[in-house]
Amino acid sequence: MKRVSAALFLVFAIAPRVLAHEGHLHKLMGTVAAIHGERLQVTTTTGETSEVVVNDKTRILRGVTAQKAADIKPGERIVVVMNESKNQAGKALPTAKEIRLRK
Amino acid sequence: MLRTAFRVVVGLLAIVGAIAVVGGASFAARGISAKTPPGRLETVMARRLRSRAIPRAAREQQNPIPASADAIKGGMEHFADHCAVCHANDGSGDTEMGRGMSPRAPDMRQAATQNLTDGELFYIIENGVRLTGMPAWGGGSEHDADDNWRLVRFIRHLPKVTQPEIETMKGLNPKSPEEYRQDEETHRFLQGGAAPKTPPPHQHTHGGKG
Repeated sequence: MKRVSAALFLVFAIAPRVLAHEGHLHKLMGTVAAIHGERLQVTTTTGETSEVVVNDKTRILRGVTAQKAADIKPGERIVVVMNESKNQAGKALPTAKEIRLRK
Repeated sequence: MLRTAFRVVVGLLAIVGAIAVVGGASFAARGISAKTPPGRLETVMARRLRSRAIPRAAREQQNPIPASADAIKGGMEHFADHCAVCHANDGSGDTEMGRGMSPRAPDMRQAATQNLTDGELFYIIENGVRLTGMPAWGGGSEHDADDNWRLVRFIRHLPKVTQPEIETMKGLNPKSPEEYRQDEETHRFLQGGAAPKTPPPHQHTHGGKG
C-alpha cells in the first residue's frame, strides 16, 4: 500500500511539471492584409483577421533568402509561426517567430 | 637532494589535495546535476587534459580530403544530419540538447574549437570525449573516416556559414513525420495550393537556433 501511495504521489507531483512546460507555437496561414511598423495583419484562411507583432528577432524568409519586414507585401500569401507573449498590461500579444513568404 | 625531493612530493600532494577539495566541494554543491555548466577552472583543466590525451601523431594528422566546395557541402550535409541536433546548424551549440549538457555543447565558431588542429578535431569526432555528450563516430571504415574529414572541413567553414546554407541544412535535419507534414503543407500553401481543411495544429518546441 505504501508503495502504491508513493507511486501515486510521484505521478501527481511530477505530471503537472511535465504538462505545464511552455513552448507551444501557433501557425497562422493566410494573406497579408496590412503591415504598419511592427504590426502585421493577416487575413487567415478562415476569413478572420489576426494581428501579429513582427520584431527584430522575427526570421523572415522568402524561400531561403532572409527578408526584412518592409519586404512583406499586402495581398501575398504568408505563413506565420508565432508564440504568445504578454505586454505590460498583461494583454496577450502574438509575436511572430518565423515568417515564410512565397519565393 | 633528499630535502628537494621531499618538497616536490609535498608540493604535488598539496596540489592533488587542493584539486580533491575543490572537486569534492563542487560535487557536494551540485551533485550529479548537469543544469549548471562546469566552472572556469574545470573547463580549463578538462580542455588541457583532452589535449594531452590526444596522441601527437593524431594531433599532427593532415586532412586527406582536399579543401573544396564539394568537401564543405559533403561535411555540411553530414553535420545537418548527425551533429546539428546538439551543435545547431550554425555550430553555436544553442539547441535544447546542447544547452542541457554539462559541459555545454561549445560554440564551434569560437577560438576554443577553431584553434584545434585538423587532427585534433578528427580525433575527437572519431573517438568522442569521455564524460561529455560527445559520442564516438568512428566506425573504422575508410568511408567513415572520409566523412569525418569532410566534417572537419565544414567545421572550419562554420565561422563563415551563410543563412542560405543554414536554410539548406534545415531541410536535411532529422524530422518527425509530423514536421515533414507541416513543412509540406506550408510549401504547398505558399505555392498557391489550397489551405489545409483542419486548422494548423499547435507546434511544440523548446526553442533553439539555426
